[in-house]
Amino acid sequence: MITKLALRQLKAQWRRPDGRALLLSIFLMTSLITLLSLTGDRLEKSLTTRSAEILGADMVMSSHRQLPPGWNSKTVPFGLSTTKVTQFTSMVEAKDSMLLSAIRAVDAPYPLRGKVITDPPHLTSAPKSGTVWVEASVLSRLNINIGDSLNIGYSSFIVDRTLISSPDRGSGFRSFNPHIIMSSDDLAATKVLAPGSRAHYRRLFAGTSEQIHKAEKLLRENLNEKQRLYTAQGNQPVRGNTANNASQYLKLSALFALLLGSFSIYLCLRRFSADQRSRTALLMSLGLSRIQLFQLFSIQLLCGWLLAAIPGALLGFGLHNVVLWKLASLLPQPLPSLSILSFISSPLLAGAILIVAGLATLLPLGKTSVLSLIRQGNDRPSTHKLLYLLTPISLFSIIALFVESALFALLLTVGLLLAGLISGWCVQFLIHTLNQRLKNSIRLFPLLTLRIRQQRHWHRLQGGVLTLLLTLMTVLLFARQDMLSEWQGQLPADTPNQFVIDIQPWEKESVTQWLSDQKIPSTLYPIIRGRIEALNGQAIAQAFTAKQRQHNTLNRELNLTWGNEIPAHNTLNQGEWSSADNAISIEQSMADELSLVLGDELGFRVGSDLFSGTITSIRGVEWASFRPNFYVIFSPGVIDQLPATYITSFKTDASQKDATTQLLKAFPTLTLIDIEQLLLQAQDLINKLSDSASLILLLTLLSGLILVITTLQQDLVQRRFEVALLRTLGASANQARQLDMLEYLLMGLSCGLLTCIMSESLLYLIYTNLLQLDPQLHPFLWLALPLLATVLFALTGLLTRKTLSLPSSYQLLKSGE
Amino acid sequence: MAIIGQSGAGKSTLLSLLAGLDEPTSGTVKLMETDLSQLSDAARSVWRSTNLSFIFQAFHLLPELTALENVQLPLDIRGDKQAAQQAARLLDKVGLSDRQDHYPAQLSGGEQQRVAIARAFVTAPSILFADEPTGNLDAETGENIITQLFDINAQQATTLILITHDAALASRCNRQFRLEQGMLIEGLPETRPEGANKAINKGLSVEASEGLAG
Repeated sequence: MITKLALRQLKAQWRRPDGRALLLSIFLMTSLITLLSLTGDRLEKSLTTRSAEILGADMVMSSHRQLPPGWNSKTVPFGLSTTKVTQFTSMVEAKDSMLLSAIRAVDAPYPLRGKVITDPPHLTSAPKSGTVWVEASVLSRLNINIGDSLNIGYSSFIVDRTLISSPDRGSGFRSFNPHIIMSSDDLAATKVLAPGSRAHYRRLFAGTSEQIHKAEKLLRENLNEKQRLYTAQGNQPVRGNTANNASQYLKLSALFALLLGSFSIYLCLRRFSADQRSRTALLMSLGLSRIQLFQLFSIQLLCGWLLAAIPGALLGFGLHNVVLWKLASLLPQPLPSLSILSFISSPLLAGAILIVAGLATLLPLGKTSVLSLIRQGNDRPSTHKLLYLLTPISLFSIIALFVESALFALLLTVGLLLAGLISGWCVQFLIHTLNQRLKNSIRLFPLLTLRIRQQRHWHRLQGGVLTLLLTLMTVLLFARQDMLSEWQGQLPADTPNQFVIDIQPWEKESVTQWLSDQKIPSTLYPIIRGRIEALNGQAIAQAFTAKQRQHNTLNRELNLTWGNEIPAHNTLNQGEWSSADNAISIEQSMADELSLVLGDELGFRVGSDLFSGTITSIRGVEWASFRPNFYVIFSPGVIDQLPATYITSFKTDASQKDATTQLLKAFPTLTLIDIEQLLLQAQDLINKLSDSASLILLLTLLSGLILVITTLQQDLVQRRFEVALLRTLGASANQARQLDMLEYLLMGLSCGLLTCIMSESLLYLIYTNLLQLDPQLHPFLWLALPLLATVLFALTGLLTRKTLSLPSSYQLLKSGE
Repeated sequence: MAIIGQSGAGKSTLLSLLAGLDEPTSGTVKLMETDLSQLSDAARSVWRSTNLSFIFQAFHLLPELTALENVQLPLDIRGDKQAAQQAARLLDKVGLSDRQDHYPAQLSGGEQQRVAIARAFVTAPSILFADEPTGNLDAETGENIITQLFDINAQQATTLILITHDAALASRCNRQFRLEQGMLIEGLPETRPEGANKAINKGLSVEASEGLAG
């Protein structure tokens, strides 16, 4: 009987707008949370896997000094597997040809994550002693084949296999050189690494995330200044914090969706509970006990949950596939499998929220008195004060549990509520101001003012939510669009679109000649890798502060160059270009951050050579100009004699499309970087990411609209009463409708205007601080947003509004319901 | 019996006390040998649902249930297996056997109140409280409803306590009480014609109302 009654009631409830809003809220919230948690789960796992594949391990310890042998035994207790790698740059020689190469001497097994791919496929996990695996460019540059020999230092090796791809390539410029992998057993015999030689020592570790976590903790405590520790899950040199950023975005969206959803569900249930009062009283008068009443509502909520949460989860699953399909090219394939937990957690979460909100709103119904059937309106079951406190606390705990960080959840919740509150107040202020403007122009002004005063609480809520959501949406759309169009638009027409590196000294003349034959203007710059060792005779450890020593120019090898004049695309900020002996010109930001001034003397080391340069000028450099840029430029005569490779960049137009192919045919060992291609890739990446982000935001906006609908319904009775009263007092149906439309218009205009102001300010901040673009106004927004917001309000309003005929107005007032 | 009084005289308060819906600030309410104040909230609910029934001014039918299902509901709640037959019988009595499967929205106001009457009698209560049962109906329909109410009441030998502000209606009951300044006084106000009272006194069971003490 209870079940039948519950189902009948549910069926009837579904026809009512607030019943639909409840189901829709649960549905949307579940689909959004499913989408977000599944995508987050997959993304996090993929990026971790991918990072591990790039690192070749789950954790890497790296140093420029040989790692103490003790490391191994220290970590073995955790059950980790480990191996070591020594990477250095050296000239290799074969048949009188020389080539600067990046050489890795590795222990078997290698690597611990990901795969080294060779042709033909290798059978041992590292090259056998006396053999090397080399990249195809080594073969072509040295003009040798598989089976030939090449010399590294004092040793000779047989080229065993072609190296197609490998993880653990190292970071920075080192990884640009052609790669060679050899066995570490042979390293000593080459005598390449004498004490003080420059090399990069790495120890790779692999294990379960728990083992890695423990080992990381221990290793970090004992890390010295020269040593670095990278993990696939956390900080690492290659991918920055992509995984972290992505999951933060997803968590933020999830939190937003959860807050909106919980609030909608709570309001729907509150309204439902209010509607159930007289029915409950009636059922109790017919003998229904409280337990039966509890069952009745539980069945209804359970059915509502089943009806909405399961399709919601399925939709979320479908959408997550759409997002992953969009991002397919960015993620490693096949994707890691999903955990069951991440699939069922969202419907369960919706269920938990439903239970908490249900208890808070429906429990007081048990106290309904049959008396309310006799005395209309003066019997309202009171909610226990504790319940008022417990509900938000339980809701918050559920949310915090979901986003896995109470502090993050608390900060964001407070932040969002505060932002919502402030925008809500602003919207209300705007409505008030706009309404005052209408004072003398419309007849309904007094009624409108009354309406606005009555509805002010709901206006604040609706305005706050809608403004925040619309602002986020607008900023996301415009920042992306402007970034892509502006960035390219701001580049001068002659911005180079091709970079050529690895030009060998003996190729310099012919490459220059070839380019000028093709009428492609370009300048070749020599690159010599060197390190700053001293300032005014003092070692850098003493000359610079710890913070300064973190600067790019001090903690790694620099690309040094020399020339007869300052590059045309640099500006001379201080001093004068000098071709005097040992004069150097440095870049402005480097001078600022390292507190360098004209006349300072910097000491450099290139290989085993030491020399110095005196700063005679400071240059301004446009790093994003797509031209070779340097921190330090020497005057001629200091480093000219050191072995160098050359770099250049140039612009090819549509008619010269074939030029790059021909260049590579003429000089097969050059490395060509197609910037246009890179830009297209970047654009593609930004599009894909922001498409996915927009999809998520669009769904959040929908949840926001559901909340607006819910709030419009909260006082539907009040509104219908008011309309009935107006109608019986002589207002026409048209006037009643006009009043509603005016209210929506005011709401729409105010929300739209505030959204414009907030979006433009945020975009201004993003342009000036993040994207380094010239900020601009978007006149289109000022037209479109108020219009959009008005339409949204009018639509949601019309969905809930019912035209009241004169007789039914009388009836409504008479029945007092 | 009828209880009449001006608006605000306390008719509804009296009814709620009588039916054990409210507790008196002082004194006790004894109904059918049962001291309601001695019962717990839950026990009072059970007692009420076995012995009392209500008819309301605003009908209070569940819109998603048919006429038959609405009448059947109190028996369903008790788990009565004969619920459907009994409900059909009562609907027949109020002349709605051909409207059993209609929903409240498809019925007129008078028909809705007849369904409510059938629902009130279906549990064969000892006492039936009717609070302004014709308040939402026009005069003619109201008259028909009252006739039907009194008829079934006579057949079922139920004590009917009719709360009204209509002296003419009250005079059709066996006994009349008026509520004036917090006092319950037997008899209609002096201005009422005496004859109207006696004419309609026949059908009602006076004995059954003896359990009432206040």
